[in-house]
Amino acid sequence: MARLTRRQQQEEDKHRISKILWYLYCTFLVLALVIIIKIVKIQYFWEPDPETVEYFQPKRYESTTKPERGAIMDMNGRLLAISTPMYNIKMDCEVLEEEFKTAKTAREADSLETDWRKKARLMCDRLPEVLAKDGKTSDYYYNLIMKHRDSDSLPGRRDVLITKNIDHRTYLKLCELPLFNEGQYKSGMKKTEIETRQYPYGTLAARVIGDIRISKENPEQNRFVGIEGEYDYILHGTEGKQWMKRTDKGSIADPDSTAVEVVNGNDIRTTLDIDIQDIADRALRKNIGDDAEIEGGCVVVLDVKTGAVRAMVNLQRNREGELGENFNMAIGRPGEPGSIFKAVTLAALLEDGKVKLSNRIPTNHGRIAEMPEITADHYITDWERNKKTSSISIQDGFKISSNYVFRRLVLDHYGDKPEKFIDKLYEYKLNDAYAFDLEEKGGTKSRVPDPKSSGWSRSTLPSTAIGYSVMETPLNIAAFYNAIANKGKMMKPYLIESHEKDGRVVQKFGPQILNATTFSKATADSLTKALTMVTLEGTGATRLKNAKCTVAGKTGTARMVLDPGERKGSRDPYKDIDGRRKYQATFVGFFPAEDPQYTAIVTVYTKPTTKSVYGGVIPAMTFRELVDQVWSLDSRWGEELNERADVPDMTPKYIATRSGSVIPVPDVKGMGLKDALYAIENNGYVCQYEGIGHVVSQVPEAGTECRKGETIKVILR
Amino acid sequence: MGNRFNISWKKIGLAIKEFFIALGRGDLLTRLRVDRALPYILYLFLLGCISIWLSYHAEQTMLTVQKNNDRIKTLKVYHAQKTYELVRLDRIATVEKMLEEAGSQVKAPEKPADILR
Repeated sequence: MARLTRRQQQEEDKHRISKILWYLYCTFLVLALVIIIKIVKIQYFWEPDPETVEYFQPKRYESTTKPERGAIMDMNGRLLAISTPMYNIKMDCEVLEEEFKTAKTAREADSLETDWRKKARLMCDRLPEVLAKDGKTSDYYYNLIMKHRDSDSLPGRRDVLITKNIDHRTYLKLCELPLFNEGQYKSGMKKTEIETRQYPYGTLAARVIGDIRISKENPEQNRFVGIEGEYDYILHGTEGKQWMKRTDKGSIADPDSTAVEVVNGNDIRTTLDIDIQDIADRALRKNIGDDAEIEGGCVVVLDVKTGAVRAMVNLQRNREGELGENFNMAIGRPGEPGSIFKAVTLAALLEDGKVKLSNRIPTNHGRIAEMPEITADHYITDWERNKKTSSISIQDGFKISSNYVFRRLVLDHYGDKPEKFIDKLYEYKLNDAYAFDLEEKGGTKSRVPDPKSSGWSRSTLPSTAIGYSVMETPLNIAAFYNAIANKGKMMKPYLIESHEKDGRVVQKFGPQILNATTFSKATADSLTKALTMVTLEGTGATRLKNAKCTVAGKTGTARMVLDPGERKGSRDPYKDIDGRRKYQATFVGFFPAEDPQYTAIVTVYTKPTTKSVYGGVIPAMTFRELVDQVWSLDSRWGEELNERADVPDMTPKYIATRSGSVIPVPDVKGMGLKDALYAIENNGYVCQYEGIGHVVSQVPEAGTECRKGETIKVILR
Repeated sequence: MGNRFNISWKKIGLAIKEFFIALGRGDLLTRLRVDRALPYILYLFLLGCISIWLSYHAEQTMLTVQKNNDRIKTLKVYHAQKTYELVRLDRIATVEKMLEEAGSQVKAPEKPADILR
């Protein structure tokens, strides 16, 4: 074989490399073709197994985010209702059981199970301490868990309830316990979050704040009460929805056009002042709590200038005799108001120029001549006897709350045109004239008699003048008295100040004028004067004369019509066969009378009783406590300290000490105690001191010559 | 017409033949002058890489966001719980009771606070 030349050898090598490269190229080319064919096949012709796809594709699921329910606040932003999650804790007692059984050896499986049980025991030992409210022992918890772990047949092994309704802090403590601190998959701990509404002030204003109860079985039993119910559409917010994608490291949002962003509910700022609410609540509880014959009562406090409701207390006794906020009587329980309505009659008479407070009318032994069926007014007969007079001024008639005086006045001035008097009641918005921010389910509205109706009789007008034949809610009466305090400007009582979002006001409400000139300023002043006399000398004087500020108000007691069941066959609608009556006793007024800031009404309702109940007793006592405490808490009425005042000179003098038996007393004014002691005792005197701070006075005065050993008294302040 | 049609088929046949020859010789891309578009191809490749890298980082960021959301939710719950506990102590009656239990002499004010002007 001929030997190849060098050049031929090089050509041969090149050729071989080319061939190798060509083969490689062909291989890659084939591979590329295979891949392209495979891609086309997978993309267009291959139908994958759905179960396999599930494992190879990231799992998507729709996640619903519940909105945070808005808070309810008082006028100062203090939280009255807030949402916080509570937790139910369950345990999967089967956890890791199967995994332990698949261990390599039986011994290893036993060891793993024993370790798990040891940790469970340690956890159970500490559970009673963390879940003290449940009052269970550690053995109880351990036996419960082990009973379910050991038995394969027990139902609910994977959901054994450990505790329910625990707060976040307790939940975090649970997470720190042995076993539970290893997480859900090792401990079996399961947490269920329940959005719960919390009321930090407990039952304060509970009926006004309200609640929502949803019945899953029967939607007709759904309950929407108070602000929570009425303004649910504002507080609730909108649920958010979005698709989530599971990745190796957790779930992430997988946004698309169907995503709906969660919108949290707006907060509601009310006009309530929780301090005043607390004071009113305590005062009413204190005065009616021990008297089982009192069915309940309500208190409403309004801000004079705006009509804002600062407090609304509604306490009603349940079957067990306990007081609770069960029904909003202030807005849902109209009743015949009694003598407090005399202020309305007086306002009409004064405004129409029919009378002045100083006018006098004959007393006529308390009898209305043309209506002999009406019994004599004993207040008038007492007045005639005590004052030895046969006439009475309008102011005195109002002060002693004489029914005779007001019946007489309306008959004299409106007897021929009763509709004129009734029109005044409409002007004063004592009918159902305006919608309050809340409505009480099952409650009724205020009502004024109609002279054109068939129910009108000749006794209706005089009866209306003294607060019968009309039905008024405590709130309506309070709004009228508030107009007197506000010099004739009637403000609409309101409870909702604004809707807010993250501290910013979304919608502002605020005060509304119902009638800017309900009556003139002169009428308002006359009424204020008459009302002040009631608390200084009249029916309210016993309880309110010495209140911390002057009160202008009126007592009122009305007998209530008994329900047919309560009458027990009696023909008298106001009395049962045992002579028992039901009363509605009220005190309504405003304070301080000179510059009114608050109007309040206290109404108390009795059960059928033989006792006499008066507006000047329990309601006036409650009102007095309210006035005294509200006045004390409000710095508006604090004493003003002058800008300039005599402040002792605090510059200490030069401390001089001298020897001798008779020496002048040093001037220690302005010195601290240490320097004063040094100056006095180094001069041979004995020092007595009182107080702390700097010396403001000394006895004897500086410069007085005293003998050694005498006592110098100094006062420090 | 028929001639032109025949010519066209011939050209197509030639082109297919040359395509396979070029494919066999490994200079198909050079013949197609793809080498002139190489910077663009590299640029496209780079964009592809960046896109994959960004997708990966976006997922990581989403995970961080999700974790932070969970943390924020936990903190919000803690805050709400604390707020509730603190507000509960704010009631006058509660404060008075606590003062009494602590043996304090402090009582509710009996007169309004003095005002300094």
